[in-house]
Amino acid sequence: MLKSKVLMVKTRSGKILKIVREHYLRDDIDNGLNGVDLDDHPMLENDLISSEHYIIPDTNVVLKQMDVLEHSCMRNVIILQTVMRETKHRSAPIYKRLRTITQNKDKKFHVFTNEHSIDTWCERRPKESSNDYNDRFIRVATQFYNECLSERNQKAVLLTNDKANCDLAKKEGLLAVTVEDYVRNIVGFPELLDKLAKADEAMEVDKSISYPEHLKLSQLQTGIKSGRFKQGKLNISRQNYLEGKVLPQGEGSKEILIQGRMHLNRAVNEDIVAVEMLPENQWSLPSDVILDVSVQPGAEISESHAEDLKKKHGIPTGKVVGIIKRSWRSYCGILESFGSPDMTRHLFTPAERRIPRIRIETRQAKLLIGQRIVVAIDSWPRFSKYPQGHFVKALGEIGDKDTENKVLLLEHDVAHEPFSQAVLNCLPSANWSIPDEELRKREDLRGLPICSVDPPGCTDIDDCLHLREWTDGNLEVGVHIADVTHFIRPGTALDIEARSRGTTVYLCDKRIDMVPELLSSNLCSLRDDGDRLAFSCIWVMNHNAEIISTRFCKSVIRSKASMTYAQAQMLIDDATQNDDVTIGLRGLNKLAKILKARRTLNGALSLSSPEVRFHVDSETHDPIDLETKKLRDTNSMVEEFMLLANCSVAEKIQKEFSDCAVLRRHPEPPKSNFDVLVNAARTRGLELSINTSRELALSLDEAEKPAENVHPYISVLLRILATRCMYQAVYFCSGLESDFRHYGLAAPIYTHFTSPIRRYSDIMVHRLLAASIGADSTFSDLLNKQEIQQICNNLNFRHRMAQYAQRASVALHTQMFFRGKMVDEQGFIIVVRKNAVQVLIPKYGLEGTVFLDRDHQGNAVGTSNLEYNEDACEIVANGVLLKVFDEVTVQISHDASNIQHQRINLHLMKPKIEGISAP
Amino acid sequence: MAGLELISDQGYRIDGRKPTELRQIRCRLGVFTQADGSSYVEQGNTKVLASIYGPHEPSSNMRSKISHDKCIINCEYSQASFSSAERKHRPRGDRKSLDMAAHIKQTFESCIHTTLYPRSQIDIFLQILQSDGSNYCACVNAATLAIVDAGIAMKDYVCACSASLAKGTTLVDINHVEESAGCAELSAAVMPKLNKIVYSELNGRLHEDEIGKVLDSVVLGCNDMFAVMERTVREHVEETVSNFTHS
Amino acid sequence: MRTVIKSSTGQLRLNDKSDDFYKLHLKEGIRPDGRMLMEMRPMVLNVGSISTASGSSLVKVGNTTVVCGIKAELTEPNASHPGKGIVVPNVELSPLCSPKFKPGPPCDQAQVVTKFLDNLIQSTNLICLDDLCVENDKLVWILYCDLICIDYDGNIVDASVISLMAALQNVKLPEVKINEECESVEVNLKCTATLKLCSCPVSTTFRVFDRSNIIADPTSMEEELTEGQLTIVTDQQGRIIYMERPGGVTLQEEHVEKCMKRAVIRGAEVQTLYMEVTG
Repeated sequence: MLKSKVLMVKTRSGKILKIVREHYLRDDIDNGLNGVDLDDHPMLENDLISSEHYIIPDTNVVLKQMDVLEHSCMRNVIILQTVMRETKHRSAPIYKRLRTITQNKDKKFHVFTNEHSIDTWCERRPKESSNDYNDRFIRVATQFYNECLSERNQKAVLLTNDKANCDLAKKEGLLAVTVEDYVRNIVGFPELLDKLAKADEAMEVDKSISYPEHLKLSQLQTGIKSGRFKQGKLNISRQNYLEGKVLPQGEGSKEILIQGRMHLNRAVNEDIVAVEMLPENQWSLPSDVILDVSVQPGAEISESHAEDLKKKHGIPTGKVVGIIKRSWRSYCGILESFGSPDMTRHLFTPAERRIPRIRIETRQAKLLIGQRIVVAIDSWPRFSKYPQGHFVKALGEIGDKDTENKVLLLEHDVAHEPFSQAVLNCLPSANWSIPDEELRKREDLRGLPICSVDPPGCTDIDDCLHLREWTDGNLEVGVHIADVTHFIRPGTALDIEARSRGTTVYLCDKRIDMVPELLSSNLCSLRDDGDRLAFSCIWVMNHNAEIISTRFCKSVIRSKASMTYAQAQMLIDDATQNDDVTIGLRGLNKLAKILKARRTLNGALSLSSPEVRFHVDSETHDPIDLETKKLRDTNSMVEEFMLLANCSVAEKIQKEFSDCAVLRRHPEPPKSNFDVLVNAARTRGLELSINTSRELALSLDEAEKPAENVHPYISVLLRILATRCMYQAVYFCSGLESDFRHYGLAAPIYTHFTSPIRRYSDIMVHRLLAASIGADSTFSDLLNKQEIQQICNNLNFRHRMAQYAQRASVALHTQMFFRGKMVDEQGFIIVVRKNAVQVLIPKYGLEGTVFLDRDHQGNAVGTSNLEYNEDACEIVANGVLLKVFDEVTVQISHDASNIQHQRINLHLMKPKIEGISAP
Repeated sequence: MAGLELISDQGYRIDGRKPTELRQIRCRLGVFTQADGSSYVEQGNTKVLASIYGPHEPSSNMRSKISHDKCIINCEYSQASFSSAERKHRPRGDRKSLDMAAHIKQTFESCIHTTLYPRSQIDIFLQILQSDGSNYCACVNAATLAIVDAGIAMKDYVCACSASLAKGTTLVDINHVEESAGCAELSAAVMPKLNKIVYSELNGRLHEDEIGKVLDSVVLGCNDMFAVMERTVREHVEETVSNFTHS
Repeated sequence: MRTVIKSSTGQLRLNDKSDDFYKLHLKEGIRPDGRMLMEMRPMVLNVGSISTASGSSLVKVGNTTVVCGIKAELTEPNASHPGKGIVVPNVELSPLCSPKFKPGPPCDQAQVVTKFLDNLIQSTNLICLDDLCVENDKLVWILYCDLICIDYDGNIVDASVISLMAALQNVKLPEVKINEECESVEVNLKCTATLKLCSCPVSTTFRVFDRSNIIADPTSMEEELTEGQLTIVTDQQGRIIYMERPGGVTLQEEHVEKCMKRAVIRGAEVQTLYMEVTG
């Protein structure tokens, strides 16, 4: 039967269009009661309902009580099409979660297309609001199910918190229950009660605080259009949790500072907010005080400090008048032990310092104190100092390495569950060997002197090299990369999982693989124990490392040796070794040096980060010692050829697929980013020129020359500071961007090709390259620009999160290393702030803060005797001058006073400052 | 309409049809008195009128194209200004209309027995009253019925249908919303009994693995269309004959 | 007597309706299709069939079929009438409806009928154009009325007027307000109102045959045989509000009076039809 849906829509240009759509009603829609999608006999018992029943939630229940629905006991739930549609419209993340549960066959959820079923269709009454119309749809569908179930003596129960809907339903003879009542009366699962998100009314009222009301969305939109308000994402400062910046949308906008609890007005980090500018005489500066919630919980910026800030010429400051989109998620953290554990209301402190504390209600407080738990925020009413939330799950004991690792991974959104069965089914069997037809299709390079050079303990070998001299004097150089795309076919579950993970995450003691181990360490890895499939890039160059020709092919190789950097270096240096692999290595080494010099001349930057590697005790898996990474010739050699391969591949795929190639670019940072660096260098009499990357590289090299008054380590510090001025390099789709340059490498075009085992972007590049040389079939999404850009965006996000996770893991292990120890070490001041200095300790690659406004016991000492000179990057504390790049000695100790944020404390030993240094 | 799912997880399209189902089709023959043959076809919300004049002596402006052994076919396509959601300022003579008219002319040139009507002209006039996707297909179907009504000899019925590919499933008989979603769209006109494709047009990009699948569904759709059209013609003939015998 | 004639378009037709043949009929006071001289053909009226248009109607007067679709848009008003909305009629006579019409730009007849409708709207104050104004000098509604003839069998004028009126009565416009603060247009799509029509005209067309016979509601064949036309428009109260006599053969006074009386009666019949259909 055909009905018509008529809607009137307003287009962007202001025209009013009448849109007419057909709407067919069917009589063959499956209601799920045939025992396949839903159980014949629902098991869940409830004291309120006497018979077996199926649950039909309404939209608000799905939006707010997702955690309850995801619980394993909730089965036999019917989700109506109306509810799915509304959920999708109102919240994308909840919709995604809903879809995941409905697609999971074990959960026994059924989606009923009620809007197209002739039995449950309702015509919209004139002047009926959309909400009422949707509610009526839901009630009619419940009635329909009741009729279907009546012969089986079962019932359909409507779950809704809307009082009006509940009343109307009862009037029509339907069973309607609120979520609280239902969950409270479930037999056998008391923990479900904790997962209930609270309705707004049952709130604890803090007499002390009353936030200004948020404006309605329509008012906010009007204001934004008229320019009165600005919209942007809120970024809370890492140093000061009561301060944040909003970068408004639109070109050339400047960041707006938001300071203080009232001005933040219940906005949480990463929310999209609407900001109203304050009058110019109230503009302020970012606080250069480091406000640390773990040391000073509940602290505020002091009045005098606030006044001080205002006296100086401030930057644009504003206040939040409304929230446009919340970005709440589940947070890991611990329960604060306040009062008696028998109380049900507790405060939860998240691990992420930028999120405020959350009030939750739980009966299991006794169990949970001492554990890491996950909590989600429900709401933040006006008269409550803290947001309200509910408990989701417990992770394990605090301080336990596995738990802490889990927290780290959850907080950085790194997928770490074992691979699902669907993914494992895509793998070949463990005793797979190269089939004959593959051998025939590929080039046979098994006779070449191929070898691989990798860090010790590496099992996922991505790349191999070789070099051969030809009779005509030219050199043949080859880079062979593991042929991962042969195993990971597009569109399979394996491919989708790898795409979502994006990259392998290397924690200090664990590696979270992007692809299952069978592939990464065995079938794809270019080990030296047999024939392997590879994707080769072969150049013919002269002895001056100039490329004469390039070609790409799929090949079969046999690596002659898998060496570590140290072993390769030894081979090169040992004059007695003269087999073809060693000769090849020497040749590669020479070429690499030429290539590197050429790159530096072009402006490539070689930057530094204090990388440190842990030796992990094989029994306890505790870190024993730290080892800073040493850069040998061979590291540089491998790096050079990887870069060259990446550049050659980038050129090839850009030529073939000019509007959908996956490339990597590094935007040039604005000159202002370098201010801190230039100022710091100037204090030591070093002038750094930052106009182009070439000038920067050359001036950083100049700084390495020995000079008076300049400690040799300063050049390294300068490089470390320079790294912090840079933007992140990002992946992008060539059709949607015009600037391809990579600033850091001074390359006009670049991509990632050489590590497909651990990066998904390389897999995409492999596919494009294979299509361009005709070695593999194409597939429909290969050339879809929008799809590619979306994947690139995800990869950039995952890459960033992986970096943060890696850093957090190093910090975790550093803390565990220093447990129970107290060590004095040499360090350098790298940044000077108003109340503290940040010190870098090269031996451990550790960076920490030495506070100058408290003594070594941690008691506040006052800032009256501190004189801070920002431009000169120096501070005088109690008469002692501390300048940037000064060498100091600090005492490193482990501080477990805050369970959640166990920290490394640094206390100044030399130069000695009265009242602050440790005795 | 960002994020509009062309096909839901349960396998239903936006308007509730399954992917292989055609829209509701209504057709009538012989609706006008002036024309030699006329028809009215509704495919869902797409409403088309077709009028055939001919065969007749070529009009003055066509005289240059007279052919001594076959007839010339003249086609004109016009879309009413109120037929789409946004008002169309130029109902005829714009690029799209001329394009469409040329396609339909080519389609019918190969189907009508032109050799039976030498030195004459057949006019096909198409008017779109409401447009909701698959305009070409509805026009071809309407023109076929009108030609049948006019009694002009054709090799076979010409039935047309469109199909598109979304998330790996082919959707048959595209409406306007599905057209504007940006997926590739394949329209084809087929002679069902002879099993020949007279005309096909692909908008957008399809991978070579997928094109076979889409073409197959279009042909199936055309066969379904043929069943409906044939039934209409039979009913029309029965009605006419019964009127004849009674009066 | 049956002959074969060649019409102006080059078509060959059986001419069993020649001049003499017709005169024979008229002597008996009847026309070839069985009607009396002043009798009208039956009418069929249908509204709202085209959902993409704001208002639509389909009219059949005998075999003459006219479809009218109205699209409403927002625009800036004319500088000369800042507080009035705009109504733009347009009649299309395409080759689709009759072999008489050639493809190409609108023929003379179409343009004449368009102008007639335009004059009718202006002079009889059909729609209160002030009602169509949203904001004086800034925003007004403009109604594009497109009339398409799909089957031409004479008397396009009457059919057009009826179809236009029915379509106008079918139009629903949403409520529009201008938000001063941000200068944007707010449309309340849920709240729609029908147009207020100040008068409801009905037109009747007569043609003159052989200087002395007046026939009402001519068919296409009759139009070719007759010369001279007279169109009278009446409103719902039976008053004559518009009259058009585009040249041709002269008419005598008593004939004009006869026509006027007939037009008034016809007007009443059609008004009841409007009422029935539009409710």
